[in-house]
Amino acid sequence: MSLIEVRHLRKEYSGVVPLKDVNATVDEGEVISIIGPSGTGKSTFIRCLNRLETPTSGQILVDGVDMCAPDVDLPKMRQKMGMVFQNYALFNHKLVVENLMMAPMDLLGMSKQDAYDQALELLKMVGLKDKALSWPHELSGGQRQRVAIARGLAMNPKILLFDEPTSALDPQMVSEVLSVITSLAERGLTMLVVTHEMRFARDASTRVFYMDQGELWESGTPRQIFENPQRRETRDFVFRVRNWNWEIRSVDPDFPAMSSSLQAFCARQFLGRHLTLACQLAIEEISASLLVKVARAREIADPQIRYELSVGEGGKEASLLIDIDKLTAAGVSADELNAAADDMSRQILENIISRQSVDDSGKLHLVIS
Amino acid sequence: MADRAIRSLLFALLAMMAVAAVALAPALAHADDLTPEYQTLDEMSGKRFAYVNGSVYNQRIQERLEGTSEDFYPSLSECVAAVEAGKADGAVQLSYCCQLAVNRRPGTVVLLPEPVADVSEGFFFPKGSKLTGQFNAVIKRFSEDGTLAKLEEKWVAADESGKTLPEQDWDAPNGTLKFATSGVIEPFSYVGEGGQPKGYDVELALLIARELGYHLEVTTIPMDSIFASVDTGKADFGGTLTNTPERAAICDFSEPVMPTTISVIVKSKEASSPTGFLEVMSNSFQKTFIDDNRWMLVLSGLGTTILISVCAGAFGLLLGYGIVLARRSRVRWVGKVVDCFQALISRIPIVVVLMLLYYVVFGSIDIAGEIVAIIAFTLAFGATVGSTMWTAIEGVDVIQEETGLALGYTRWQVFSKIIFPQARQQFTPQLMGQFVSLVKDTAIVGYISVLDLTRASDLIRARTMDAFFPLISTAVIYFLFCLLLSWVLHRIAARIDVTNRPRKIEGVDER
Repeated sequence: MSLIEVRHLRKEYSGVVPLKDVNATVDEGEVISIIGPSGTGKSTFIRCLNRLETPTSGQILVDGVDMCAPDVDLPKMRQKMGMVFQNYALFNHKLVVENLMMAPMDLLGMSKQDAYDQALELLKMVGLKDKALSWPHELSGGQRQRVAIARGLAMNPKILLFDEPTSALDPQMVSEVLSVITSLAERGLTMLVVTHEMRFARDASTRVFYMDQGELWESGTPRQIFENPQRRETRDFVFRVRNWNWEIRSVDPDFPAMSSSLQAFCARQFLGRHLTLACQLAIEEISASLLVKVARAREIADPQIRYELSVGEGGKEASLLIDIDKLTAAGVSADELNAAADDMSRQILENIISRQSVDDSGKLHLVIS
Repeated sequence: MADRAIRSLLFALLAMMAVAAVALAPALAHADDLTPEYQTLDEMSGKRFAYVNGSVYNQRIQERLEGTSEDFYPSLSECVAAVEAGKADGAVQLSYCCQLAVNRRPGTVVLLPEPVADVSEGFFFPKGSKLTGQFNAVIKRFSEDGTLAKLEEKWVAADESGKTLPEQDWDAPNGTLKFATSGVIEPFSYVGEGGQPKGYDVELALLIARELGYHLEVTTIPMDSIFASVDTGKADFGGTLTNTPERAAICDFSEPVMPTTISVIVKSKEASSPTGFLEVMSNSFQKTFIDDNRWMLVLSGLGTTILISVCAGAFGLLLGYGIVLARRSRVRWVGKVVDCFQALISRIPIVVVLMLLYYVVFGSIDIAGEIVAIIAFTLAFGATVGSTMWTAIEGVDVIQEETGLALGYTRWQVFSKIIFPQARQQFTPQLMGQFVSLVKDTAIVGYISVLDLTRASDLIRARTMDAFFPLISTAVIYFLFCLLLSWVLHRIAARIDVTNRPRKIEGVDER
């Protein structure tokens, strides 16, 4: 029998239906990543599982117990399934170690000494043993989230639910949290993780749920979902999250916005520092020194320069597609572009672009490494 | 903290001494050869007159003078202070009272030579009370056998030592009568040693009660509330006041107890050259605190203030906590009821709530003013505490609650172990400040005849006719007490602030 079984789950608020009809099963030991566009019911789904939300209709069986039955002992059931929230929510009036001791002592009747020993053990596991006697507000976001995970584990649950555990963190703290979650996966804990980290979904989970518009559109192994998605919506989403798109619609473009969007994308894809810098440099140089300069000289107010950056397997190199249809249509030739570049930018670009070609539709294709 | 407190304390004391020096300056003139600013009443048309609350002498003045304006004060001492300060041109009161006032403020005020009008005062009773007739019979007899004349002689005498009341050692087959009197009209009704009411009216009431086979319980009530307390049955009779048609429509009046006159106090022309500041200060101190053991009155007033504040503070905390629990209740109407209560209490002045409770809600029940005051301030403080706590609780992130639930705590455990302790960190300092405010707010309990610190100073002022020294002393006492209170509360707050505790887990073997 499956550990979790969800049948025809529906949740509606007045005017909004975040979950239409969700059916799913989760077996013991599975690590499930739930991906999909924002606002499509992923969090609602996971919050229904431990009844933080009450479903409108449908059935949820956890370990054979109907979570929607009127006589269900919710506190007891919730003890079996820990939950980690986006905003960590450590108890600020307790020391870090006490955050881990509270629930086992209050709810499982664990002795203070045992709770303390277990807490230190768990803190050691998430790498924060020396923060045991700190106050929560003294920790960084990533450290707090690791404490929150350890707190969930302190109740020794069968299932651990994660609701976007890294969304509130700075990019550099994401990996420390993800590595803790990954190590838990190796210990055989059943986990459901709502996440936007595609690398994590691909590398650490046994199965991936793709949710969209309140429904579970597709589930399968990471390989199936990411490399051979069956449904168009899944394909579009996977493509979108694996590519970075930007369009320049002015001769005075908003470079800071472009740069921060690109950085966020690179962080999400776990590109190395070197490759991130290379991509950024390439796109900025090509924009500022070549394309925008030429557009300005030709007095084209809306140059419509489109970039599409995608990352190859392994994260060693990135490919950049540049669409300059509007400029070509206005009669800009390759020679003119070459002439526009000064020695400096030419040298920079030569260093970071390993291959370049022009495809059939006239798009420039660069490989950055 | 201690340093700052001491500095602010010194500064405040200096400021108060400066105020005292300015305020007392007019009282420093010499007593001999005084010329009143006005010689006859007829010179005073169009002037401002000061009256005691609840007196109707303004009608008598207006019968004789054109275009006068009027101000009402709690007692004659304030009226005299108003004349001294030039805020009024004349103060009007029974002639005996005026004479005493002038004697006590030598050099600054004098009496107009001629009394203004004849008046007569009587006791008054709830409409239809059988006491009216019984009292009238006794008063008539006393008038004929010279008892009234003897009483008058005794109480208007300059010698204070003979002015004592008889013990109530007689049998009282008919029970106890409750007598409401102002306590601020010496020599008719005022407080002596230890705050005991005495005076002509009080002794007369005692003698009549003895004749009728009753014991007497005397309460002092501010002038403007005496009528209400008889009308609502808080007291069996009150007095004495002037009989007017308007009053007679609500209460029955007895026969006049003493035919007398009213006089006008005016400023003397010599009232300015200051001398001997220290002498005046020590004189005022003597009068305010030492004479008649008045310091005991102040002390017991402070005790009452503390009693009411502490009880209302403690019960208010409980009530506030109850309000929070009711608001969290899943039964919707409970929360609505609490909302209504808070909306009501926070929009009605506390003094009105206090009087409503005393005269209306508990109007027909025999209940001590102190208890009503504690109830009123419990309601007010509870409403404040409730909303302060609620705001802090709302301020705790909702994720905290969900986290607790997800760990397997019940809704109640989440509240008591996770939400409330975090909210407490926020609201404790605010509640401390609100409690100090509560102490100051209790200064209005005199309205329902509770003798607190402020009321004690009112009564003393009525005796000494010196408005400034008792007021400044009261200010100093409140200030020092609140300062001490803030300091103590801060110590407590620091102790229960969890972030101040040592980083240590008690009772475990730390490895």
